[in-house]
This record gives sequence, C-alpha cells and structure tokens, in this order.
Amino acid sequence: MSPRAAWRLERLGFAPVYDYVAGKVDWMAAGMPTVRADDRERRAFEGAGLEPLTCGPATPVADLPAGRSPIVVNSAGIVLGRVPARRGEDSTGTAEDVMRPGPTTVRANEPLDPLLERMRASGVAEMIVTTPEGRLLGLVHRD
Amino acid sequence: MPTAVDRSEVLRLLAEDDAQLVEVLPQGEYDEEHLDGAIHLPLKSLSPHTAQVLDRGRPVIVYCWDGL
Repeated sequence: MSPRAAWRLERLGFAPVYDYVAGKVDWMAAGMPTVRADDRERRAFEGAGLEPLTCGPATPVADLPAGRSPIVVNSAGIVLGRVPARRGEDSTGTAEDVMRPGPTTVRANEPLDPLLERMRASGVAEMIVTTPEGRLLGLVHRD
Repeated sequence: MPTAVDRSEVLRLLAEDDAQLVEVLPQGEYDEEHLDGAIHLPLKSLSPHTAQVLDRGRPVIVYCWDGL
C-alpha cells in the first residue's frame, strides 16, 4: 500500500518522497515509540530488563562471572550466542568457543503475558529481546 | 521516483531533514496504533485536497503495515 501512496504523492507534486517499506510492523518490532489506543497490553520490550549481562565473542572465559550466563554480542550489538551458566571447570578459550549460538529471541512488540505463559509452560527462565536485525534490546525474566 | 528507506534512514530523515511521517492505512488501523508523530492520510482518500495537510517544503515518508 505505501508504494502506491508514495507514487501518488509524488504525482501530486511532493518531493522528495520516501517509502518506509518495512513499515509499522518493523517499527514496533524494534521497540520504537508508537501511539496506541489501548496500551494495557504489555509487550516484551516493556517487561524486559534493559541491561542484561553481555560480553564480546573474544572475551576470555576466565573473565566471565561464575554461574552467570552472559549474552554474546558483537560490536554492533547483534546477538551471536549465549554462554551457559554451567560451563565446567575448564576456563580456557573465549566466549565464542563455549557459547551456544543462535539463542531463541523475540521481538520487542511480542505480547508479554502470553510470552511469559509459554516460558512457564516450557520451563524457560529468560528470553532475549532483539530488534528485527538481531540487535539486543533486553532480557525478559519469567519471575 | 520514491526512494525506499529502512528504519535507520527514517530516523535520520526525521532528525536531520525535518521529514513528515505519513501513515496511509485506514482509520481503524491508524487509531489502533501508529508511529509517534505520524500524520494520517489514508491511501483510499488521498487527493490534492486531502494532501493539503502536508507541508510541501518538507520531505515526506509514507508507511503502511509492511509495504504490501
């Protein structure tokens, strides 16, 4: 719909005209501000802790806090993996060596309460929230 | 020719070029949720008359749900 509107506006003499093709769904999924008629529904972004523990892929395992599960992000903030809290006695290597790649993530506009229900049902304690590009936004805790 | 832009370019155009955001979806969808600051101009009623709400001196960024 927006491409046709863009062409129509150009025909009406407006310039320059840009088409944000990914549209409202992309904006919402990235946790950008919107105006909502009914804002009672909480979303993942609103329920997430916004400063989860992170590390870079080259961080030495020996430098990671024991018993914690940092999210591995690159210099652009893109989620690469997650280091398991239980990683044995061996503290050699880097976060990238021991991380579990491709952790499950949700977008910022995921309805929070159904998400928490699914997490409870499947025994998942935490869920990573990212933009559509995979940039870390926060971490939802089940309890 | 309209230029396709992504979210980062939208943010730049808003911040640096004082662009106008325009949602072209029907009334109900705009009312339910729209981008902060967006003007509502539904495609189905887009005409020289209705387009007068826009400032001809500023760039225009249109969007719908997902471009389809």
